[in-house]
Amino acid sequence: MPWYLYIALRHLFPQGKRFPVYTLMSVTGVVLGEAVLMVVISVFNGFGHEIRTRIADTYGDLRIVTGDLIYNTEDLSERLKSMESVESAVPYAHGLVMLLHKNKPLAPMVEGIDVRSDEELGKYEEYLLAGNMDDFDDDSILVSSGLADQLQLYVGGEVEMYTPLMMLKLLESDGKDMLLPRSVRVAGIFQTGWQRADENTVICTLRLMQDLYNLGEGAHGVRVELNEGYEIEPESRSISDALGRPFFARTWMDTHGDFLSVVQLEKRMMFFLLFIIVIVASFSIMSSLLIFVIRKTREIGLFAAMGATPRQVAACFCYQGLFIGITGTIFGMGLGFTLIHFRNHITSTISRILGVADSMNQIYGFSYLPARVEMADMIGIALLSILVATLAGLIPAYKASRLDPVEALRSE
Amino acid sequence: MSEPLIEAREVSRQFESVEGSIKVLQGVDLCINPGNTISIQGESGSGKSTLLNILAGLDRPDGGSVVWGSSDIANQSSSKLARIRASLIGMVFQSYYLVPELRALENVMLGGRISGMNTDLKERSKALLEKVGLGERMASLPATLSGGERQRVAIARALISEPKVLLADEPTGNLDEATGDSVMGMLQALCVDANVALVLVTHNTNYAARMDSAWILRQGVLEKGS
Repeated sequence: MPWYLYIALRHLFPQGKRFPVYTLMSVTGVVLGEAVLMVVISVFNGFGHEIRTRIADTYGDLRIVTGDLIYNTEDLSERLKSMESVESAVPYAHGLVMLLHKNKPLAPMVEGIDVRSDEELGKYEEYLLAGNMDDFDDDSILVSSGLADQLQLYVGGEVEMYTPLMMLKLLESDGKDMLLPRSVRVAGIFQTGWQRADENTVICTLRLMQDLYNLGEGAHGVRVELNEGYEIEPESRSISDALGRPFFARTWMDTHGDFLSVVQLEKRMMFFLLFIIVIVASFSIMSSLLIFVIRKTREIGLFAAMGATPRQVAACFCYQGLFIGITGTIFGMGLGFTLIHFRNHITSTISRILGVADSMNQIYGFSYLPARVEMADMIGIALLSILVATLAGLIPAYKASRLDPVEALRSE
Repeated sequence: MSEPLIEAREVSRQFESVEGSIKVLQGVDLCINPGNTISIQGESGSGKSTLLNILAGLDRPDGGSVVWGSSDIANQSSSKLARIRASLIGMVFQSYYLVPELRALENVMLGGRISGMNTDLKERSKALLEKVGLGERMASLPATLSGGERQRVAIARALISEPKVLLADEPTGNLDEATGDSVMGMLQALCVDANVALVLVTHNTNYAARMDSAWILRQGVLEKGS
């Protein structure tokens, strides 16, 4: 081991002596910066992942459409399922309805799902707050939590449903026909955690939707779930190419990408804002090392007298910055992973103390704080922290290398 | 006769102060041959330490030249000088200058590490510490050693890189008489054993008298002593 590396280590971590305060303070700064960055970025990743999962669950990874009704959905679904990347493909129909309950009208989006698909039913069962999927049939609907709140709907209750087609018929009959709504039962209330879906959505069976919209055996498209490991954008292009015209694939990113972009933007902004902690820590390292250079002036003179080159003296202090960065990063990662692991205990304790329990669920629709550790982010944070700490050692190192050995040896 | 290890020719050095320039060294000539022992005496502030620093290449003269072997140090970069110094010169100071974070053995080994003499470094360092009578204190930190013991460690550290010249700047200045005598005796014996030239700056006439040649610095001028 080169002597300057050895001395750098022994200055920072001397044997048989107490841990130097300056080392402790410098390392602590990096530890805190690293840990906070890790936790915040992981939580943002977790939010992004959860939202992406919930959007994909309600929207599907891809939707195959033609711009018109599709009648041969069975054939299309089979063709899609035969593709390696496709996990499931089920027909759907969607539109707008008006719900009337206790004289209060609301116009939510409605999605007709294929109840023959266990996967489709399983997905919504996961998000049910009340009710049972076994009760979900062609005469019932699932309503989102926001809609249930606004219309005061409850499981087992009846609600009147009007479609634009009914309005059209009324207009065509010049008011001679009576407008008879379709009475449906509320089979369940769901909450996905994706605010847009939870505010104003009704789920019904595809058969009911075909009936309401007079679609016959047709559907508006086929919803596709991809197998794990397939990227949505490139896969949508290859599926579109494979199916050929008039089919084309739309991804949820085309319609809801803006929401995720906001999460991504927030993540980046938080990274830069919180990275300031690491930069502040680097100034702490720099000032500590500068004081250390002054304290060790005579020693630096001694090194020169023993034959050390100015570059070796500089390396000695530069390596101290590097070692502070590495040590801080290791402990910071340990603290960060610990905080991420116990994040829900920590947030629930804080909520209990502040008396704001369940705020996470109320605001974000999550009963827990999501977090997702992505290795690329963690490696990036670690490397940046080490780099900044090393750079913080450069000025003290330069100052040490510029010391006049004679003056250094004379210093008190 | 063999080539001098270090030769100072007409060396002069002056420092600027608020009272004007102070001529610390004026036309100093000194030749250090292999195995020679030389003493330099003089009053405080007479320029003894400045002369040692110039001989060691830590300071540059304003006039004249210092030649190590056959090369004038004025023509060398500070990095090159440092590398040559590491193998040519060992230095011992009045205040020991041990690294407080390192144990006695590690302090000695540091001298070898810096000069790049890493072969059998630990064994050689241990042997040298045994020689200076500190076989039992190798694992001690400098703070737990007495002044005499610290200076012995400093001497061992200076000699571990097997220098050809040892420049000792008042090595007994901080020691009581008995300890000083013991350290001085040991230093001289080690230099004779290893055929290392010794330049001793001292106020002690007895120590100066033991050297092959004695010099006195008076008002910047180096004169032959008695």
